[in-house]
Amino acid sequence: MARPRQAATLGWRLVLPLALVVLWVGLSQVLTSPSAKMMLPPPEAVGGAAAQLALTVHPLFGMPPLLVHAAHSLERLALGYLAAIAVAVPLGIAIGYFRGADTYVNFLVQAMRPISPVAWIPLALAWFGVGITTVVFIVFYGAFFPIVANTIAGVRGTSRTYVRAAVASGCGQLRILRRIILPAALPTILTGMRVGLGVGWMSIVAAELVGTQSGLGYLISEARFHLDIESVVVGMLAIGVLGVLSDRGMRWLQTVLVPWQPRA
Amino acid sequence: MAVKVEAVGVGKRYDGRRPSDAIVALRDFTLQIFAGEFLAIVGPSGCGKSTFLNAVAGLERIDEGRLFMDGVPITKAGADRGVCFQDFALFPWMTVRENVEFSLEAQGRPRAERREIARKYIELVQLSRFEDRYPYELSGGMKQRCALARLVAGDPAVLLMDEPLASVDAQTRLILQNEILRIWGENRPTAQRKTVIFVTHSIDEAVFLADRIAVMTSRPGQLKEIVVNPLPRPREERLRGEPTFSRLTMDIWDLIRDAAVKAIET
Amino acid sequence: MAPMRWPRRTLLVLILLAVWQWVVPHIVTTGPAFFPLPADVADGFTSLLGSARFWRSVVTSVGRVLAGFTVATAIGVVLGIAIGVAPRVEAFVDLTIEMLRPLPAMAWIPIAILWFGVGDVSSVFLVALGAFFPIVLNAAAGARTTARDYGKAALTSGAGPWLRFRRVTLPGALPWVLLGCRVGLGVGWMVIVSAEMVGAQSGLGFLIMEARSFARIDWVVACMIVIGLIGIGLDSTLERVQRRAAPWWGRVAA
Repeated sequence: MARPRQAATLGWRLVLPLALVVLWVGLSQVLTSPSAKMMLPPPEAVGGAAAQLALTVHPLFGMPPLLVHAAHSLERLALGYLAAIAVAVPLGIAIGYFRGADTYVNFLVQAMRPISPVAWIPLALAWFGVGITTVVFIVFYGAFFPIVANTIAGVRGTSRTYVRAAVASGCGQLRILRRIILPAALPTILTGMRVGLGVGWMSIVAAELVGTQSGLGYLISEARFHLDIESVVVGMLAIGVLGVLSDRGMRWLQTVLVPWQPRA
Repeated sequence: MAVKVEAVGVGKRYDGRRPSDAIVALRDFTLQIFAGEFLAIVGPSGCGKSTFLNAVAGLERIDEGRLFMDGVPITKAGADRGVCFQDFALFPWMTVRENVEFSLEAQGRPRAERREIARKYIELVQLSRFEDRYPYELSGGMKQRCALARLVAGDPAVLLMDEPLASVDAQTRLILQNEILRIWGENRPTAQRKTVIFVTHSIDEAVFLADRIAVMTSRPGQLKEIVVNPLPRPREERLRGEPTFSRLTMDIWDLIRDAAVKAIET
Repeated sequence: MAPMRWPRRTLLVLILLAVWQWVVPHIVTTGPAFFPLPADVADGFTSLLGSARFWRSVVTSVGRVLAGFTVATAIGVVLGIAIGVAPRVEAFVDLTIEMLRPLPAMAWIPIAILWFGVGDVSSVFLVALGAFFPIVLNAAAGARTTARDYGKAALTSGAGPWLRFRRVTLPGALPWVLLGCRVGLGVGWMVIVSAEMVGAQSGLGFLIMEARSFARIDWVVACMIVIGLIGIGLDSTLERVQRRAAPWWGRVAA
């Protein structure tokens, strides 16, 4: 029923975004005082800053600064995130599968969970100093909990019938873990990894605002310090775009790794 | 006998992504349902029986033909046609009593009157002890009874039931079949009975309950035959063992077997 | 089995603390400035609880988070339910929401400071921004799902639009709304700590950064624990509301 209306709704969907752009352009034409420009930079100023940051080679880095900062952020994100997967997935499987791990480890994990990754920033700074280790640690910590929680849920949620069917066909423990429980839990684990990546992005921005001398979080923090709102906006756009791209990547990974799950 | 619901050449198709995906759910479907009659529709999966029911309920638009109730074209849903859904669709946030009262609330009846009528129907389906419980606290059979009470509480002239017993176990099913007949008013004269359109997969269920059985085939959903049920009313349990009962069941199965096999294979 | 769990777990925690207190100092020799010992943290905790400044910080942070959360709930619930019931509203706002959502609230901190200065207004703005998206998306999903699952039943009961909205859409969407509120409040609490670290002169986030710059690592850890406890408190309050308001939620309904 909705099909013939779709062409009409596309125009309707563009109304608000276009109106906001028009409002932005209009306001920046009207408000031209220096203080107003500080609050609401005109589009051409943002474009100029974007060109400056993304295209002009920085004499120190030998690359455009935006790319350098983005590369640093992505490197830290990748390190912390991969470390979180490497620790959280085996730990989650152990907790979900073995009673002993559930009794003696799970409650410790759950006790740590309420302390948000940003609350660790000061301690991480004290331990690791200003630099990459602090940021990687915060990303690791932020991404860890969604992944471990979903891995536990996925392992526990594996239907007992599947396990029984496997036992009945003469499967050993290890094979059951590898052929039954892991694939059955995989969709849930991947969902946890996707959530973890989102939390990782929040954490990396928060950590870079105070704990580094590079990265996109540092870029917007530093630009704010110099009252350079155009660069702040460019940095925010970069964070948003990379966030979308990484989430899309995870979604693609989900369809590749779990081809047997019907898509919604 | 007066015609209550009438379908004349009704057609309905669902468009797919491509023209070749289009499904003809109903084609040239013509049927008269009389006032006070219990009509069952049986047929294989995908024969369009639920589509027809939804169209009578006013929940789905038809593409061809005309559909009348009391001679008036059906255009939208209304309180004169009550629907009992396959998954019950009891409102989880309402207690049994509130669920049963809901259609009375829609009619704008005062609270005291609502309560009284609801109590009567809750008693009729033997749920008095559970009237302040939420649906999740009920067993499958109790949920079904609650759905039946909700269906009749608003006093609709036509009861539309879409495989109402498909999700209860086999024994509860037999018990509830009797209750449906009781609620319908089998013991009353025809003039005081409601009109029922009852969609089901189960042939013996149709034979036990209905006055007439409309047999459908699938792809496209078409009416194959209307079988008049000779079994006497009130229907008693022992009828299930009668040769007439089994013969009728078998005859209907013969009518739809080929289509049913095809439905599995596609 | 089950009754033996907690005594054993307590024992485990005591052993871990004992190892930390008496064994770790022999291995890690950088001193308690970096690895606060349990006894130091306990001392830090007591002195923290005795200071008026700490309690002021708690009140400030919780006040900001609740203010931002209230704003986010008010806008998010109304907009979310409108999105869920009206495809036109959904089409009108969905592109904008999808464009703004991927940006973590933390990335707004610098611009919020430029716009609103250092202090309450930017904190409340940031919390509201962080809490808004989970609330609006869950409210929309709740209203949409309710319409899908119960819309037909409501329609064939003869109910008019207002009754359907009041007795079906709203109660059906309520548990989703509360779920969104819980997620939103959690995000808001994370955001406020972060925002106060950078853009405030008060609140727990400011206090913990200050403790760090004075090298009072015991206070840092004590503040972290307090942040965790307040997070639990906020969440369990909403969880209780959720259980009271929708006892049927999460059970096999229908």
